[in-house]
Amino acid sequence: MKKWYCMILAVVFALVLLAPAAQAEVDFSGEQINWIIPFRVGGGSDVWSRLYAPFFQKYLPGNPIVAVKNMPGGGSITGGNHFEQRVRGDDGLTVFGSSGSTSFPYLLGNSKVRYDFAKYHIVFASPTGGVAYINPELGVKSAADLKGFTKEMNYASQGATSLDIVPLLGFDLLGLNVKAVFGYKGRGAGRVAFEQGEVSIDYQTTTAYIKNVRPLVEQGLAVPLMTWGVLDDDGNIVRDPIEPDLPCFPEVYEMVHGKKPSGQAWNAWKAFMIAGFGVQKAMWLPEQTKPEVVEAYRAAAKKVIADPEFQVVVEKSLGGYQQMAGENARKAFDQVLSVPKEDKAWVVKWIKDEYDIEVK
Amino acid sequence: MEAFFQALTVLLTPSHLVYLVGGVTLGLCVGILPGLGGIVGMTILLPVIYGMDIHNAFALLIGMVAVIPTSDTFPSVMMGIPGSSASQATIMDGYPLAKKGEAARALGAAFTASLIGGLFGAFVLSLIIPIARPLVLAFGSPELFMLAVLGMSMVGVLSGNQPIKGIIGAGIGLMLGAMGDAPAIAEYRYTFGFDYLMDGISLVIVGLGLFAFPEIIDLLIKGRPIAEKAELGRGWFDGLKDTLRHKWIVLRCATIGVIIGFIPGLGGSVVDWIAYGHIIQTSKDRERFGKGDIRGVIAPESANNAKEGGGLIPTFLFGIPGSGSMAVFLGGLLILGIQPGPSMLTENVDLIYTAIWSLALANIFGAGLALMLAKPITKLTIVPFRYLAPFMILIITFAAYQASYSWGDLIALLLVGILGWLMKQFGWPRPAALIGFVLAGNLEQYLFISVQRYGFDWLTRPGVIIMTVIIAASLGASIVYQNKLKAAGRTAAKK
Amino acid sequence: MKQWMSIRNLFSLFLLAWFAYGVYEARGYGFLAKIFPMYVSLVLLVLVIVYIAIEIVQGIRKTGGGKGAATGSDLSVDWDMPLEEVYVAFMLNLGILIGVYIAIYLIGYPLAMTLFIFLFYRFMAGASWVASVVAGAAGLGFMAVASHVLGMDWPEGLIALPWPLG
Repeated sequence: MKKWYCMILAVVFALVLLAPAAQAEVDFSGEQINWIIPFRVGGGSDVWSRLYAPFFQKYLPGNPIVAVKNMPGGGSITGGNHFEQRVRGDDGLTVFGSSGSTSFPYLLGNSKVRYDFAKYHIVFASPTGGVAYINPELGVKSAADLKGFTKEMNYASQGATSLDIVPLLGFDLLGLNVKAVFGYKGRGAGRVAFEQGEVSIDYQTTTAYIKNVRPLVEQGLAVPLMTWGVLDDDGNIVRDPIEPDLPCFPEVYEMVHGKKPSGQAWNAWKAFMIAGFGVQKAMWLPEQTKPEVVEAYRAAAKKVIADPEFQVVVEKSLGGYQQMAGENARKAFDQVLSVPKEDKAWVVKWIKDEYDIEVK
Repeated sequence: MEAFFQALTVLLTPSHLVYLVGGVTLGLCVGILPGLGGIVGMTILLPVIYGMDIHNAFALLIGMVAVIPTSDTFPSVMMGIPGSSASQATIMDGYPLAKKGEAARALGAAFTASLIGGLFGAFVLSLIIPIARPLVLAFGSPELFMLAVLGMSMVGVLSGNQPIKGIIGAGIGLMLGAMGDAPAIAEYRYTFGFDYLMDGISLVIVGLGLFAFPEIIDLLIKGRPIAEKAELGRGWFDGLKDTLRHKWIVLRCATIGVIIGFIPGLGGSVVDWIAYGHIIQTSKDRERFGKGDIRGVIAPESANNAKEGGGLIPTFLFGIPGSGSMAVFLGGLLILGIQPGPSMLTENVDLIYTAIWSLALANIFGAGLALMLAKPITKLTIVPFRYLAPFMILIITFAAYQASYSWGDLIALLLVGILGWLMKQFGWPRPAALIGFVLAGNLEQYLFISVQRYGFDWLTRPGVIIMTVIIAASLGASIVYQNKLKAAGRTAAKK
Repeated sequence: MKQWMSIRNLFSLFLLAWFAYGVYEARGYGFLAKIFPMYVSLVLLVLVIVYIAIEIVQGIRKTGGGKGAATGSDLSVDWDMPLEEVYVAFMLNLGILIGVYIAIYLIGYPLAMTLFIFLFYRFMAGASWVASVVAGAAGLGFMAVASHVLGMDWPEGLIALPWPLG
């Protein structure tokens, strides 16, 4: 009898000792991880995920296959809603990749959106930057000349509820007279329209800017104005390290208005700028995911980002921006999640007043 | 120039050739399966190319995309089902030829035309690369709108002796194309509350629904083989001779293909129709078009291979893809760490030459392989259709499901299919509907941009005026054609 | 013949309803989204009304109605059987397809398609048992290869089955 008692005690004791260890041991050996990308194959977010996928395969415990699953539709709302409504399980076998186009309808309170970033666990986030430039024929030599500049300009836009909120609201904040021409398909089309003279002010992501607009600047066909800036560790918007000679948006605001930016319009711009650029793309785990799985993912993301081989990829294909893993990403994205209701409502009203477009 | 031939010697090394042939083989397979085209092929290859040598990856990707318009002719000719969106117009005369038992001849002509068109496309590409940027920049939104109108004007020749049916047919396409998100604003039209319709119906489903579904059903009802005569008639060698005899048609249509290919925004899906319409408009004897005129096969086939060369230009030099498969190819470039842009001409000129040579070699391999396969595959047209039908249904549902991986794809296929069958029975021209569908987005988008930006001043731009003249000439030509037909009908009636 | 004619007219009426709905629905859209579908469907509505008028006039003038397909407009259809039979055969084939869809919904795409090919060969095409099994297996083989190469998912059925059936 005593023997039994001892054995049970020993087993219980062993279990108590082992339990946390067993729990902490996340192993994906032989598993396939599906990474839902709510955009079509070959698009920006798809390329981003495919650049990351092999490195996650390398650093996640057990080296699972990381497969990108494209689920395009509704400007990424379809994929986001699928993630919210259909993905269950706490084992981290399905992850989601969001982009600015996923965050914007979420911020604007689009009624079709079912997903809620506040519930999910962020793994890492990738920032990007934007550079605005202008047609030299308008006589603007640099951002300083924008003070009191009132000539009408055209901007090639994809739509007033798209990522273009950032440039359009930005131009408005600077008091520029910019007319949005809607209907262009993507930034590439906007750049071509700029070269054709169809529009006179434009912006490109930094990567596209370097390859496609710098040659124009050298030929005197474009004048760079400013970058949107990047987030520093304290959540401030500072100069873009990729184009350090250009002022960032808050600096230009100061040049034009003579005071530091503040107020509701500025807060709204900043929130959308962070969602659209500062933490443009992010990987998410579902709500129910076990904490140790989240930890395993975040640890893997840190290792991926530290990998010198991946640093080359960042330089070549991701614009050279510092990628954010784990806590850093969470802190940065919290700025998107904590946007006050009034600021969001202000933007919705601004879109309505300015472009007569309802956000439904 | 030296770099140009150096690129060839690099490409002719065994390892590159292996990738090129691999790409060609995949391209032929994807092309031959109805509904699967360049986008699916690119999607298969994208995960493979990560970390691959850039030149090898180019050989693989371009080899694949170059030959899809070659092999997609098989189902178009043999079953009246478009193999991919590039060969829709080939059906018009290729399929009647197959019904007459001349499938081998049609295929021979088509592959030869594809080969010459493809080589010519690569050649033109190498010539216009230096002046390509200003050329592309000459097409602003107003010009692109006029190009879309030019495409729509092809409906004129495709609506035969009942113009009102042609226009309404095109309108059916426009209405199908208007479904889903509006181009300028995130508003969803005619969705009936279904999330599936938020992005509209995909071209693959409309193509399969309008053409494949009705053909499969009708063949099942008739219960006969496709070829109405048992013997297979003249062989592919006659087709080859046909193409060589019409060499000017080939070169003309190949030029059209390159031009439409390099203009970003119009997309490659109407190239074949424009070439087909062009050949009807410029032929004196038109009575046999639509009943098995070999020229109706040669024209679209020489244009659709040539367009792939043209399509590389905006992708390389501007980073704006002209078609769905080029959009995926652009993603491939980014994965390989290449940022497209004007610097491609200075920093990566070797890649451009590799692309041109890959294109040329792939067309040669592709046409050769397709010709070898032609003879055995044409035997399928004398097999009773009930043995083929279940497999055809398998393939079209399979292909439709690849559009967005949802049940909506299958249901949309069935509904558009029923629409297509009814249109076919009641003589509503489906080609007109297809052209309308393809161009709906372009028409709306570029008209909006033009009006927003220029008010009505855009109408006086030189490019717009030139295009207006071309459209007027092409419409005039089809009206003359109608009158001739009516006159011919009267004389026939008198006799 | 009479019934067939009425279906032809029903199709024209369907187009009329479609375009009318197009106008009706477009009224509620925002300005940028409204213009194009609104005007396209308005023009089409007028054209369809004109067309239906032509159809009625022609219907009165001569019974039977001309061959629908115009020269050079589309592939022509010639039936060597009464059109009522064509119509019945169409409904039959459509019914089979809907049956296949229901099967896909219940048991998933691969198994449903395999069974469909097998049953079609055996009972519709009158092939031998052996040929039918071979055909079904060939279909399954194609799907397995394609899904493996393409790395894609099928419509899953209510009943989950192991690969390659599920």
